[in-house]
Amino acid sequence: MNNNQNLNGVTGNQQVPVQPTQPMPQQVPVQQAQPVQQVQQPVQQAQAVPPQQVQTQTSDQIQQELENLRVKAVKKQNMIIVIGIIIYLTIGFLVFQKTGDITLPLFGAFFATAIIVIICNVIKEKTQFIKAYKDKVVVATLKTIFTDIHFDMEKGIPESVIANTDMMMMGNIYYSNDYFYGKYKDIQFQCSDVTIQYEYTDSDGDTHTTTYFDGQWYIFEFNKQFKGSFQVCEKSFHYSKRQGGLFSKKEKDEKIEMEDQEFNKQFKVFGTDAHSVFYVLTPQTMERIKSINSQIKGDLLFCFKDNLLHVGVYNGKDLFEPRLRKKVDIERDTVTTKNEINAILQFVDILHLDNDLFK
Amino acid sequence: MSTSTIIILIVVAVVIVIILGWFIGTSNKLNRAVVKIDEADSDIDVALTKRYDALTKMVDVVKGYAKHEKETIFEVINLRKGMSVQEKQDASKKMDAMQGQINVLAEAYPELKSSENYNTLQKTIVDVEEHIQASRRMFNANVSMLNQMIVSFPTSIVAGMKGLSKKEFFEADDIKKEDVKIDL
Repeated sequence: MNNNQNLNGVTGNQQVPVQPTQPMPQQVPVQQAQPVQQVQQPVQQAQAVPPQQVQTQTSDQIQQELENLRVKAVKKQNMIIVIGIIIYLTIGFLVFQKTGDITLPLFGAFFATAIIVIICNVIKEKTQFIKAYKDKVVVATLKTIFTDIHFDMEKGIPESVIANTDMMMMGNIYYSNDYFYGKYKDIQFQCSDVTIQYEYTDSDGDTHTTTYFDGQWYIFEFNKQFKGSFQVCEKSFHYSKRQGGLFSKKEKDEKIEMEDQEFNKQFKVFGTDAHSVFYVLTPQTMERIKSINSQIKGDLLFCFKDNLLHVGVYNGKDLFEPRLRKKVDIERDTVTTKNEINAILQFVDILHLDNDLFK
Repeated sequence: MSTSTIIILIVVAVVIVIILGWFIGTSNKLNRAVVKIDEADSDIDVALTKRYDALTKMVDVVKGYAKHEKETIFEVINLRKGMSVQEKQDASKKMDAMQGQINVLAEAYPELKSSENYNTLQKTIVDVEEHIQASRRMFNANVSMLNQMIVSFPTSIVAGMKGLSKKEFFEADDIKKEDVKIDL
């Protein structure tokens, strides 16, 4: 077996095809986790931090170690900024002296800034700090709440998994990282940061980017068996998509009006089998979804397919990212991490996904 | 023919085409609503049959534990094709009563309550009841949509011409409006 292949034959170093743009700044190059068919078979190659590594170090030692790495990265960044400014000023001065025109050096400032920002974000020291932070703060916190937790900051939910839900437009740019899976109240789940964008160039040659989705994508094992698939999208989300159509071989989604007028005002429901929709979306479930909607910031998308529940939270947030210019504080960062993963607890608790009466 | 006459004729023709298009569109919309109600109606039939089957199996299990009381849990429930909404509601109520009797018996026979067969069937019944609720709600949502169209002007004109009248809702017992709960 190839070293890059996991037990399921999925290459760990596969790059998400991102055309035609360059990778976004501050994004770790995306690697895909295996296509998700069943939540019960999560990605094997995701690496968990050896527990003894966390346990043998005290909180103060971890904090000191992370702080050292952070300071090292900040120093490196500062050095790059200073060198960049010196190089820019030197070149700018020479150009000005030769041409006598200030416009070109001023225009060059934008490029110089962009280059400095890009270099500052890809330096080895910063990556080392982020990796250590996620290993020692994020994973440690996740382990206190979930069981069977595995985390990999460089992998993400594969694009095909989200595309197969047929619930939203997929654009031509896809990023996903900070993938983790685990169990909460014995319910399998997966989560990852996901960004979906559409970039195009108009007739004037100007490039425009529309963000379709930027937030977290969750996949839960669902507790009811149902036919077909259906989706529940918040009405404020404009990039939803209906399955099927004139030229599609897939069964066409129909718009389904629920009996709860308040729910209909907040969400649009499309599905292939109306009975399944009414079976899963009981009056109580609709109340719970409305309750979640009032508690979670951002647009909510739910897709019920293959007895899995996909939840997208479009909140423009990137989970678990440490701030390089802020001192490491394990206690504070643990609380922040717990708040960030609160959505998982809410989905399982409020939607009663742990109710096994229907299994 | 004068220009003004031609213009008037064109306007009249356009108005007639618009009215005809609207009539056909509305008529199709009403037809779709009726078809949806029929589908939901047959969905209720399927769910009721499933519930009846599950209850029959449950009765067989109960028989094994409460032989001398078996006649008390038998009630004649006739399920047939083409039942009216009222007849379906009656059948559903009879099944509720049957379920209630089974639960009472289970309380009296702890070994029955703890048997694996009984618990599996109870879970099946809970699921089947969820399906009945789904069918009922879907039926009522479709009936509500049709009834709203029938009473709204100008759709009411087309509905009247097609001889459509308001449909009856499938009412739920108060207890069924809550989440299905079962003590296992």
